[in-house]
Amino acid sequence: MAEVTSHAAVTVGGHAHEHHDHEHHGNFWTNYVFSTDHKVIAKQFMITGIIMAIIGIGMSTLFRLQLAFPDTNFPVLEFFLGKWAPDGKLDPNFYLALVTMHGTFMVFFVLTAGLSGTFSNFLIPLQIGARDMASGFINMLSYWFFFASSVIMLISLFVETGPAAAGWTIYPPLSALPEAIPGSGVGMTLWLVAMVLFIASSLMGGINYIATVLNLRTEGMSFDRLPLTIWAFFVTAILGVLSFPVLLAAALLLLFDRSFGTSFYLSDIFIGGAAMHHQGGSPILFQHLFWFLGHPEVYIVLLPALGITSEIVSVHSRKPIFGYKAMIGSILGIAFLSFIVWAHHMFVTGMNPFLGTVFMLFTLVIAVPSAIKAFNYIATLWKGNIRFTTPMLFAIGLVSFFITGGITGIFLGNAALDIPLHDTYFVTAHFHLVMGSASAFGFFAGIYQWFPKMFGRQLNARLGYLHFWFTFVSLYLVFFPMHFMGMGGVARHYYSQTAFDFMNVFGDLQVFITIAAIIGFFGQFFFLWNFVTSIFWGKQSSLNPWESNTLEWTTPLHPGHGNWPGAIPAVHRWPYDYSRPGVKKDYLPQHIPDEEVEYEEGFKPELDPHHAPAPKRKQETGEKTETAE
Amino acid sequence: MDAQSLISLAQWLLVLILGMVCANLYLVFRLKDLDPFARWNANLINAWLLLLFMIGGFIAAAVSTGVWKEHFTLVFDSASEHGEWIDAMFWRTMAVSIFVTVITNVLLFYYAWRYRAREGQKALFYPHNNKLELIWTIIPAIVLTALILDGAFKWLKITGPAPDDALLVEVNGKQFAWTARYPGADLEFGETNVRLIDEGKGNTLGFNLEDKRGHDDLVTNEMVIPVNTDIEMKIRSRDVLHSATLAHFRVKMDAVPGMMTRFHFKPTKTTAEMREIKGNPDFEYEMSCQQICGGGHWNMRLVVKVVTMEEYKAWAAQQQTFIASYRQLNPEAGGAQADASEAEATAPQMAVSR
Amino acid sequence: MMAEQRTYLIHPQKFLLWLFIISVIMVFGGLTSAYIVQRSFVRPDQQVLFALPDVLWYNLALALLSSVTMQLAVYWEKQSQMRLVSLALGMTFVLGCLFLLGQWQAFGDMTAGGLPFVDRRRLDNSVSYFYVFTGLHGAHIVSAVITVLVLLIRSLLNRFPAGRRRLIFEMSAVFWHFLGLLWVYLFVFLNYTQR
Ligand code: HEA
Ligand code: HEA
Ligand code: CUA
Ligand SMILES: [Cu+2]
Repeated sequence: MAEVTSHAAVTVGGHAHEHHDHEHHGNFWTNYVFSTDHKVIAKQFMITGIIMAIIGIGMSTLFRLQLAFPDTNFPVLEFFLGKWAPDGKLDPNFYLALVTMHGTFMVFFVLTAGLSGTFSNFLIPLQIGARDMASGFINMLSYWFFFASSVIMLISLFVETGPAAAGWTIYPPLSALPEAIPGSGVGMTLWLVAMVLFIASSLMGGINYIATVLNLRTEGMSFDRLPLTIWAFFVTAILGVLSFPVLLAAALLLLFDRSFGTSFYLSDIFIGGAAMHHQGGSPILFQHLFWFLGHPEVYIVLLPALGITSEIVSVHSRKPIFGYKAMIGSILGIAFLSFIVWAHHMFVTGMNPFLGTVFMLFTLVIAVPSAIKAFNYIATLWKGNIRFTTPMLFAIGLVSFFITGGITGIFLGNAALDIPLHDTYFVTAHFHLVMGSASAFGFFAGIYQWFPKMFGRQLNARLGYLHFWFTFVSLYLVFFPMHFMGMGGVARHYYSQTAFDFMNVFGDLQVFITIAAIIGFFGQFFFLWNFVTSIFWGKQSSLNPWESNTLEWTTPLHPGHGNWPGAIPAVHRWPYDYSRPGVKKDYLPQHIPDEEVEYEEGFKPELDPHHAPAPKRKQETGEKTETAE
Repeated sequence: MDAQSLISLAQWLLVLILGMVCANLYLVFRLKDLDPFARWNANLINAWLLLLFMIGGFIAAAVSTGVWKEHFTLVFDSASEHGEWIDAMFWRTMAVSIFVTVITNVLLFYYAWRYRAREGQKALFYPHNNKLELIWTIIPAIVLTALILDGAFKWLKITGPAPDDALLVEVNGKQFAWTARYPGADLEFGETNVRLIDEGKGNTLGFNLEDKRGHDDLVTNEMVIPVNTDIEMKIRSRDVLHSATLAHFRVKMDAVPGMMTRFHFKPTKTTAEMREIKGNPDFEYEMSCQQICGGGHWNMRLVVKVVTMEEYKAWAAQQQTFIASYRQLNPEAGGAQADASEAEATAPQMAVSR
Repeated sequence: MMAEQRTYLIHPQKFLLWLFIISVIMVFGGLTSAYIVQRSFVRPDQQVLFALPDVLWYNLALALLSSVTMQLAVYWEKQSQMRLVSLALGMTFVLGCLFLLGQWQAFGDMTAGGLPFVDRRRLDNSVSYFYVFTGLHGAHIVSAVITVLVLLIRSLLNRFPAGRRRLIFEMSAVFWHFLGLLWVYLFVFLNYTQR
């Protein structure tokens, strides 16, 4: 690699003040609000994400009511929503606004910022052995941009003409013309402003994650010893840094079209009783730009969840993750392919048919690395010693959702099959299973797994089980039957299915789904209750409650800013040495040197066929030297 | 759903919520040593629950599919030629999918149950097996290659050009209705431009009156097409995106302002035939809009009638040409009355080939 | 008392800057492809071809020259000749401001020449893209000029965060050169596609 540049020694993460385990310096503001500590920032992301999730799920129950009972009036709705629910019946425009904001909140705020923001921030420094992020300040900015963005998004719910209502994909011209739908007035402007802030936040977060993983790994932490969580966060960050800027470009042009009268996306439009001046633009252009982000975005949502799952499945099966290198390879493969499949969302927009085949090819090829992941998870369970802790249950649920939901992607990725299926509930079923269920389970699994590290206390396991079973069952009950409606041709974004005879036969199913969704919604209170009470009154956790190998469990129960009070431990092996033959315990943490490993009586390490652990060890001499003062 | 059942539903929900709240409080505040669940083996229970969930899930999926399958409009009884290819391919893909989903889910839940932690048991240290991994890379790759080839050929065939003698129909989307247009006797559409739209004068498509080709065009609020005839459907929008969807024909194409899109298909069953198949005397083919376009998106309905060629010609002969209805609405634009009657006279000869 | 010293291939914060640059490249990459795609929609007889305002040539020279002065500042900083550094930074600042004025002038020239940002009769959006490209680039230049101004003030007062002076200079220079290069790219690209 390149030569060491002139600034021979630079001090990073040096802390001029003393560390005592429980004591924090500075005041409330610098410790909890404008903190640059990655652990605090992670919690801030988590809590904001959870709040946004509650609002998003709440919106879904509202519009589910409308779908199940299209002809019924609920006077309480009028009480709460005022003019948006005259006589207790949702206004069609407001229905679309709810769906749009539900999608936006869930995809961007909960599962992009919420998921990556929480776990990338929390785990990257802890698991690679760093004191903090490459830049704590930018990290803090990242959170506050996200916060500002959330606030603006929430404010947009209360503007006179309602929030954005053109779908989370905000296709122009609908999103560009206030005459087309009320939500495209101030609400859309706020949406775009919030999104610009959000993109800035994602970029700041993303570049920080990349720089940290590349530069701040502790001694011995080579890339083939990184936990798969870190691999996933790292690749996710790369996806974000490469794709979000393109959304920024798209949003910018849309802002110009909306505010200055340019015609980037608009052409030949007659609306509100008059023809508009716009000429020469193309709405399709926006779709290309949007999906160039939009498709990588869905993997930005999924990959961290899969990374978390890899770690959890391995820990709680007490078995090394099966095919570590294949797992890394498939992450990279999925990431690469995700940049060249975006137009599979646009098969029926009149694109060139030949291009369609190309995109179809790449789309279906993505199933291969995904298959590797799915099979490797299953192989990890095989002959394991599985502990059904709450994180493990969520991880298993995730794998099941991912398979069931991913398979329907194979139908949609086939351009010919997508002709009838596009924009039906088949798509809705697909992405809720793979995103709304699988990725959401990744979020939950992560919280259950690392809660003890975050707060030094344990979540109540029994409430966790209840939460899992309520959520798992209700999510399948909500989203599986949506395939039936999809195969029945029921369209997305429909305020009511009563206008079309062939769609109007699913009334009972809609009621069923809504009931299941409401049950799922209330099932979340098990979690919320558990989460809030355990922060304060939970049982004190032990240092390494799951008997895990990774570095985060070598920190004190309440790590201060800087994470390790002493020197950062060096790393001597990959993170998945569970149940190594001959080793006394069924786990072998990364930081234990070979000489200190406790073997069983009479076991000769030299004879161990696994003595040279699966991933080869490479000494990165010269790249990095660490000296403790 | 009537009020009565709603109330009972609400009560039911309330009971459920209360139950959940109680369970919650019970679990949280119960003293540890009095806790009857304390001796439960959570590992065992969860392992069994997972297994039961899987078995119950598969049964439920199979049963409910049986219950709902008569409503699967999109995958049974296609009413167009290419639709039958799509349906067949859908079921081929479905066979593969069910196979894969069942195998993987069964293994997932079975292994989870089978290898639950037990006293004194140690997991097998088994970090990788290159041969196995190769196998499960290659097999999906082969299966997918087959699916890709299958799909790509069908896709290119479906999206390919229509035969020259295909019947031209244009559908125009606007918030929130579809309008159909036929080229009339000259087999050519007249020029239109959104800037010429004049709703008050009934020129909703923006005909350029100078363009004589447009005078004999037919503008209708229903779409009538002859069976077993190639239809070349042109699709346009005058305001936002719409998507012209004919579920029964497996047709879908976005309507994009400023751009013309198209779809070629060949209906194979008349409305009357379909009424018999479905056993529903009121059945109609419907065009819906499946691209979010505003508050009336859910209600953009156009009735599509598939009839025999004779019926189609008879229908076309009865329609008023655009210019005739325009002059009727705007007598002052009158001009040569003869012109109108001339155009009217040509309508019956409405030909089908381009 | 803990503090670690590490040697890096590249300083993490410098690396952050590079990642930021990558994302800026992606923004312009997205716009470039949008531009190319939209040109393909336009019928040849409706294309609007325009000559770039002459002042942009001067701006190209300014951009290149300012990179030289910026690099001089870095060079003198290494020798701790803060007076010279201030001089070079001052020149860079002035050149940057001139560049911005030049861009403004170019906007004015275009608009006066019948090619405004928004034209209701135009069928080809190339002109609007020209404004977006240059405007967005200009916005980045504004931030860079402010950075240089801060550096200038700091070097006049000779106040820098302890031990970070060199890093700050190198990073600012990287950003400055990048924006210069970006301008060269945009200029060539616009010139080429308007032939
Ligand atoms: C987490 C998010 C996520 C993920 C991971 C995926 C994964 C995939 N998606 Fe999905 N998708 C979305 C989120 C996601 N999607 C969203 C949000 C939308 C809708 C956006 C909107 O319009 O609002 C969407 C829409 C969408 C469409 C457009 C549909 C339409 O609008 O008409 C398509 C089409 O190709 C598609 C395809 C795929 C494919 C092929 C995969 C593959 O990656 C799946 C691969 C996984 C498997 C296949 C399962 C495991 C594999 C095996 C068990 C091996 C054996 C399998 C075989 C041999 C077949 N998706
Ligand atoms: C992450 C994504 C996500 C999630 C979780 C959900 C959750 C739900 N969604 Fe949503 N949905 C979308 C993403 C998501 N959705 C998107 C992108 C659209 C398209 C919008 C558009 O077209 O513009 C959509 C649209 C959509 C529609 C289609 C509307 C239409 O087209 O007219 C419907 C209809 O029933 C629906 C229902 C539901 C229901 C009932 C739930 C829930 O009630 C299910 C209950 C879920 C849970 C109980 C778990 C949630 C947990 C988390 C998200 C983790 C949070 C973490 C913590 C709290 C720690 N959603
Ligand atoms: Cu028109 Cu949706
Ligand atoms: Cu996609």
